[in-house]
Amino acid sequence: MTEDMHPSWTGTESDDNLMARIGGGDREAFETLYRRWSRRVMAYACRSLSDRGEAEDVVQEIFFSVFRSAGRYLPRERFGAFLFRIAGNAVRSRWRRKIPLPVDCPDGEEEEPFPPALEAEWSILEERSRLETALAALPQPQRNALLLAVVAGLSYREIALQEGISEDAVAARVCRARKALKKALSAGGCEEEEKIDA
Amino acid sequence: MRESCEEMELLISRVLDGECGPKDRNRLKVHLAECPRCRETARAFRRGDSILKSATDLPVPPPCPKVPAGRFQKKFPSLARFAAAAAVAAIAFLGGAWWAQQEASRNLPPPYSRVASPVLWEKASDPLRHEAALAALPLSEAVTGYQREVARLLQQKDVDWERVRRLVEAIGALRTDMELLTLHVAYLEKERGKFGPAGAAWSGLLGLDDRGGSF
Repeated sequence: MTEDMHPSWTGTESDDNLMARIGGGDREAFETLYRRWSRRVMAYACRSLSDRGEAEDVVQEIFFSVFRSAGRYLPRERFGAFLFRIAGNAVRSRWRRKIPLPVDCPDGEEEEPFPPALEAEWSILEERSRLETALAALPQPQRNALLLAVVAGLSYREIALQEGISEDAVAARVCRARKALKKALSAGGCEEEEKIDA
Repeated sequence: MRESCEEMELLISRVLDGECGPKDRNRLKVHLAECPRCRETARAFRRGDSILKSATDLPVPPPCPKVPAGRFQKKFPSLARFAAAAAVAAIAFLGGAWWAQQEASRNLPPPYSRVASPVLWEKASDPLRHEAALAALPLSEAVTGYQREVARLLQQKDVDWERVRRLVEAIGALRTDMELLTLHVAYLEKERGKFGPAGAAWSGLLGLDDRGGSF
């Protein structure tokens, strides 16, 4: 979980040890765990909810839940699976309360016009924007399965347990979601896909 | 070929998630070598994943929530110790109070029982009546107060029947207390060989036999 961060920042202690310390009321351990996982949880929440403000709230909720449950935590599963089960529940409860709005996550590229010289960057942002739109348009089960697999890094088995479905069903959901994103990423969108299929 | 490509899409997705065995990996490799369409699919899937994973376009997470230090496990034992100490103190206090009450009952002035009925009152001397009246005052005052409150409530337009019920219950309990108290006094009197007229009267009134009572 530390691939994009320096160990001095996220610590080298195992998640389970950190949880044990948090259960004992160790605030420092909690902050280390937060630094280690919050970006990933934020990415999951943000992409799931398509709303930056809500994602921030959910991240806080999720980590509060982690803190509250640390005293009862038993390392019977990967910590990531435990964390993203809490995250999944938090996101689901938000879904029940609202219909996802169009993507609001990217940090302001809509407001800031890009100079024509930055064509490459612009095309990357366009690509991301298309992907975000396609992601937001996915059926929730597909989107959740994809995000849990790709962003949270859960195994199909862990996702299957969380979602109450078979591993094959998880594989199918993830694949369908990827196909939908592929469609959005391809230069001509639907037209090109149709051309290939024809 | 088309069906096979659809099957391969699922396989590509599984491989990207590390959910594929070596046998299926080899199958996919062979297929990709000869299928540009699936190579494109693999590239697009990977591209999508890398965008999702990169999170460079995402806002940074909010600051770490402030949580109290030393919760649960650290505090629980001290809470448990405190609760245990409180329980011991409460038992000691209640036990002490009960013992003191028992003692007070034992030392209760016999005159208390002698004012509990007009017959007994008639037979008691003035100082005894005074003493007994003072001893009985709190209970009788309470009963009287409750009775007055009940009377007042019953005169109101919308009677608060719940309050009436609770007051009537309290009156009943106090009366029972008074009766038990006087019975106890009579028993003690008899035990101590001071079987005076009050004790005798109460014995008769409460059904105590010559063997010294039934409770």
